[in-house]
Amino acid sequence: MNSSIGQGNQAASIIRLDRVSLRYNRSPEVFSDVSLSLAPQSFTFLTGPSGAGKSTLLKLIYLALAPTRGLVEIFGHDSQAISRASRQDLKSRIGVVSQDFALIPHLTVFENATLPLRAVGRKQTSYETDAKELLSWVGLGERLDALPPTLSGGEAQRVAIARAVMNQPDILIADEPTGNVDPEMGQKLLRLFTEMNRTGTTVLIATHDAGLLKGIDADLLQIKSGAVRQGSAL
Amino acid sequence: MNTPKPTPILPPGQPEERPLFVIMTIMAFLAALTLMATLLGMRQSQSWQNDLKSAATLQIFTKSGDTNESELNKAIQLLEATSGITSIDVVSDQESRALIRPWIGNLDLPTDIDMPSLIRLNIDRGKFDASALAGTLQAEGLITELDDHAQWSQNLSHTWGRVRLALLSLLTLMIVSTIAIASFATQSVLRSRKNIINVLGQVGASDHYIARLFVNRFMSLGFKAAITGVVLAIIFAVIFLLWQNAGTDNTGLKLSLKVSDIIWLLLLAIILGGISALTAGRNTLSTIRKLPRS
Repeated sequence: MNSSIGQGNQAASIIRLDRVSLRYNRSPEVFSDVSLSLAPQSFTFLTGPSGAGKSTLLKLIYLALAPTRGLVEIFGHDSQAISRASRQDLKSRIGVVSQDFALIPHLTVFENATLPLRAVGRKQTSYETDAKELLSWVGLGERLDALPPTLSGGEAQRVAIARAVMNQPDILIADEPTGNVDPEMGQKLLRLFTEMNRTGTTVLIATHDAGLLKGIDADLLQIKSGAVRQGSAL
Repeated sequence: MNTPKPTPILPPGQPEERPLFVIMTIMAFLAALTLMATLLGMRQSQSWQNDLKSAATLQIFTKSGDTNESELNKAIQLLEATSGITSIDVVSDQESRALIRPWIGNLDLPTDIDMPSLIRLNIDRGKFDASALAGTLQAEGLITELDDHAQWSQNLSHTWGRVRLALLSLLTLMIVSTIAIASFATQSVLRSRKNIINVLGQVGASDHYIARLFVNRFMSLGFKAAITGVVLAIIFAVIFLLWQNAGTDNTGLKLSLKVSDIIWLLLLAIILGGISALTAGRNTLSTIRKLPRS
C-alpha cells in the first residue's frame, strides 16, 4: 500500500498533508487534523459518499484551496511557504480533472485541451500532432473544433481529462472522471490513467463508484464525516 | 501543416467592453480638444508677442488741434535718425479713424475731435531705446506718446501663462480620469473573466502570462478608443476652424492646425493607449495576487 495515513513517510511522499484543517469563514471545520501522504508513482482511489468532502480534499491537494491550519506539502514544498510563482510552477506539474470540467466556453475542444501547453508558451506546431492523437484516442477526433456549449457531459469530461494529461503531469488528480461517460469509455479512461501511472505519474482519483475499483491494483483512501482513513475501516 | 491562428484566450468584443470603449473615446476626444486648444493658443500667443516685440507706436499730438505736417515731418526725421528702427509707417487719417470704428460703429466722428497723427514703427528691440527716443522728441518740443507695447506684451504673457496652466491642468485631470476609468473597467472585466483566470491558474499559467493577456486586450482597446477620439477631435477642430476663419470679425484671428499639432495628438493617443495597458497590467497583477493564497 503506497498511501500512509496519519504518519509520515516524508522523504518518499509526493503529496503530504499533516494535521490539516479547513473551515470556510466561521462555519464549522470541514476537515480537522487530516494527515495523509501519497508516494510517488502511486495509484490511489479516494472514496466516500456524496457530500463527504472528496472534492474539497482534492482542492486542498491541487492547491485550489488553502488550509486553515496544518501543512500541505507537494513535491516536498510547503505550499503555503513558497512564492506565488513557485506555486504556479507546482500547479503546472499537476493535471486536474474537476467535476465542473472548467472549460473555457469560446475555445474549441482542441484549444481547451492544449491550454496547459499554450499557457507555458509552447508553439502549437510543437504539440498539434500529439494533441490530436490523444483527443482521437478519447473519442474526440471528430469534435476538435466544437465549442464546449455544444458538447455532451461525457464529451466535456473527456476534454477535461485530455487537458489534464496533455502535458504529462507528475501528478494526476481526477474528481469523478468517469461520472458522465458510458462504462466502455469509463474503462478506456481508466486504462489511460493506469498507463500514465505505469510511466511514472502519481494518480489520485475520487469516485463514489465502487465498480471502478474492481480489477485495479490501487491504494484506497476513505473519507467520511470529515475524517480520512485508510482502507475500509472507518 | 497549415495551422490556423488560435482563438484569443480572452474573447474579443465582449458587451462589457463596449461602454469602456465609448468612455475612453470621449476622454480621448476631450483630451485632444484640450491639447489642440493649448497648442493653438500657445502659437497664437507667441505670434502676438512676436508682433508686439517688433513694433512700437508713436502718437503725435498737435498744439492747435489740427494736423500739423511740419510736426509730423520733424518726427519722421528724428525717427529716421534713431537706431533700432527698421521701418516707419505713417498711418493715414482714414486708417486712424477706422481703428476706433469698433468702439463707435459706423457713426462719423465729430470734426472737432483731435485725432493724433499715428506712426507705426518696426523696431529691433535689442537696439531700440524707447526712453531715449521719448526724451529726444520732447527736447524737440513735440507732444508725443511712444508706446513700445512692453506692458501689453507682459500682460499677454501673464494672461496666456494662466490660461496655459488651466488647460494643462485640465489635460492632466483628463489623463488621471482615464487612468481611473481604465482601472474601474479592468476590475469589471476581471470579474467577468474570473472563470478564465481560475482555469489558467489551474493549468499553471503564471501571473505575468495572465496579466499579459489583459494588458494586450486593454492596450488594443485603449489605442482604438484613443485613435477614434483623436480623429473625431481633429474633424471637429477642422470644421470649427473653417467656420471661425470664414467669419468676418475684426480680430484678424486666423487659426490653423499644423503637422506638429497632429504629431502631438498622435503622441497623446499613444500615451492614452499606454496608460490603459499599464493600468490593466497593474490591476490584473494586483487582483490576481489578492486571490486566495492557494
